[in-house]
Amino acid sequence: MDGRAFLTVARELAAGRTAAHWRSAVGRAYYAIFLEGRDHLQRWGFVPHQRDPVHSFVRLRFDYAADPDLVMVGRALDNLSKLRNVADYQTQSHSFADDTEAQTSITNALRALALLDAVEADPVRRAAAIVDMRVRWP
Amino acid sequence: MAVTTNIPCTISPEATARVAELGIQHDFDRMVEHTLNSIPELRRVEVLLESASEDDDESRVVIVSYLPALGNGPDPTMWQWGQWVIDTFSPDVWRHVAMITLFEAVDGR
Repeated sequence: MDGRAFLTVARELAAGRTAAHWRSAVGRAYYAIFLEGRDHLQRWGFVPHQRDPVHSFVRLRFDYAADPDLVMVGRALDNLSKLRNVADYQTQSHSFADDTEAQTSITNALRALALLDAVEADPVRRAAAIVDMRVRWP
Repeated sequence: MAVTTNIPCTISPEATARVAELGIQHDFDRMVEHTLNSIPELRRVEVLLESASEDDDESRVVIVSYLPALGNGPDPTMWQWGQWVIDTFSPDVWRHVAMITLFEAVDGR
C-alpha cells in the first residue's frame, strides 16, 4: 500500500457528518504525505536508524532541502503534524465545527504530494536533491 | 512588534521563554505581525509551546489562528503562510515555529 491511499480514506472521512469524522480526516491526510515522504527518502537512500525519531527524520530532510518544492513539503508536514495533534488530542476544542480543517488538510497534502511527485519524475532535480541531502546529512 | 490590528493575540509564557531561548525574538515578532495583518476573517491568535510528542522530538512554538467556520471549502491560509515563512526566514528559524488555522462555529461555540 502507498501512503497516498490514506487520502482516499481522508476524503471519505471528510464527507462524514460529525467532528469525529473531520478530525480523523486530518490525521489520514498527515500520514498520507508523511509516509510518501518517508518512502521517497528510503528510495533515495535515506533510511533512519532505529534510534532516530522517524517523523522528525523525514521532516528535517525536507526542511533543509536545496529544492524549494521539497522545502514546501517539509513545511506542509510541519503544519499538518501540529493540526493533527489538535484534531486527535484536544477533544475540548470548539474547532472542527465543520469540514474546513479536513478539506484544508487534504488539499495541502495533495499539493505537497504533487510537489514530491514532480521532483521524483524529474531525474535532474531528483539527483540534485539526493546529492544535496547526502552532503547535508552524511 | 508593529502590530496594527485590534485582533486579540495571547502568547503563553512558555512560548515566550522558548522564543527567547532560541534567540529568534525579532523573527518571531515578524511572524506574529504577518499573521495578524495578512489573514482575512481572523478572529484571534493564540501562541503556545507544544511539547515534544510522538511525531516531533522537539518542542515547537505553534501560532494558532482562529477563523470562522463558514463552510467555504479548503482554506489557503496555512499553505500561503508556509510559503511566506520559507521565503522570508532561514530554516534554522522557521523550523521552530508552526502556524495552524482552526475554524470555529460562527456563534463561537
